[in-house]
Amino acid sequence: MKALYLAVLVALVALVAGCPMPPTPPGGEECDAAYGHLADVGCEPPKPASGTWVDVCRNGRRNGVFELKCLNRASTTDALKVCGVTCTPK
Amino acid sequence: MMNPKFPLGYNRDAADYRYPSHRGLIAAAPPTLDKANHLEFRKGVIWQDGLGMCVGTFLKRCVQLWQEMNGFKSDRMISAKCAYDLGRAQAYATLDPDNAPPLQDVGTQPGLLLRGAREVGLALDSDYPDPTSAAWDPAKANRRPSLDDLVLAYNMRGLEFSNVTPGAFGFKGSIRACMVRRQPVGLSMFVDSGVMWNKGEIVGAIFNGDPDGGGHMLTVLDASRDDYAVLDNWWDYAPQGIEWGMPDGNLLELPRGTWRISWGLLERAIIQCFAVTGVPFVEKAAA
Repeated sequence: MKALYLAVLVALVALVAGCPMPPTPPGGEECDAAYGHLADVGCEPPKPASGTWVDVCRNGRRNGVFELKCLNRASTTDALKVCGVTCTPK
Repeated sequence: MMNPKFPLGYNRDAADYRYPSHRGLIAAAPPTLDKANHLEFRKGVIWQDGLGMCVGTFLKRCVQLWQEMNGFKSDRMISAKCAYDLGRAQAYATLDPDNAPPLQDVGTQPGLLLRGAREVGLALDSDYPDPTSAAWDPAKANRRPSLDDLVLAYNMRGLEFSNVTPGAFGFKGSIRACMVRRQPVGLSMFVDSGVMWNKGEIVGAIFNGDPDGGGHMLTVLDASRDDYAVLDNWWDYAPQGIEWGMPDGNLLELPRGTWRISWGLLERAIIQCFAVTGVPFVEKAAA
């Protein structure tokens, strides 16, 4: 159910923002899905000196401090701007 | 201008929260300092403003002392505010982060803050401004760390800490045993109005019923004397004209923002006591 909700959410955001559709979340894991989406639209997510963006995302969620859904962040125009990808809102 | 508000920042850990003991540290390493005195290693101003972030400032001072005593530069200090925010967020670690309530400035428990520093990480105050920074924005007092903040903090995970418990020589003996091994020690206690406006005398009594008092967290700077201990505090910030603790020019030549308390009282007043035993390499993440 959660995966379906996320898929619908991403599709809506993508439609509004004029962004490419993100890939289907693998197993509903939001951090992987967000990273996949960023890679799909050509973004380079911020990387720490150690670990990966997905690790940071998972670590934040595991410790209860991740304020934004990875998927949501990756799907907004703001996040895409951070990554240097131009999206034209419709 | 005096700061009229005493920010309540320390909340006691849950009874079932467990820490590693400082005794393992003592067994593992011999003393390398002659005296349990860290005053000469204290550098940099730490100020908590009107926020209840004394648990974060205690950690900031301990990390600075640890670095200075263990061969690392301490001029780039960690962010007490980030530690405080992560500690508050830890209170909701069992919830889905998206369903966690907004942060409130109600202080935090040291166990939550230390766990946040260990598991999520630390940030530099240049990246996550403290109230002493020109970039400090009071409007962000209750913001949660962003993804970018977490990316920075991720590189500075792994803080190590221990619970300090009284031994055969009370807290004094245990605190000294940590400090001579270059491990900074912090403690929590109830602080009343008399302590707040202390101007240099050795504090020998605390009124636990003082409605203006509250739980506070401090760092031990000098435990080498038998009659009193010197503690650090976070309310004295000369540029703001806010004074608390010993003023400049006192006969003891102790730095601003420090104060003295008799060991007899301190032994009874300590609620919890911690040693910071290991600090991750504090360096700005590669851009």
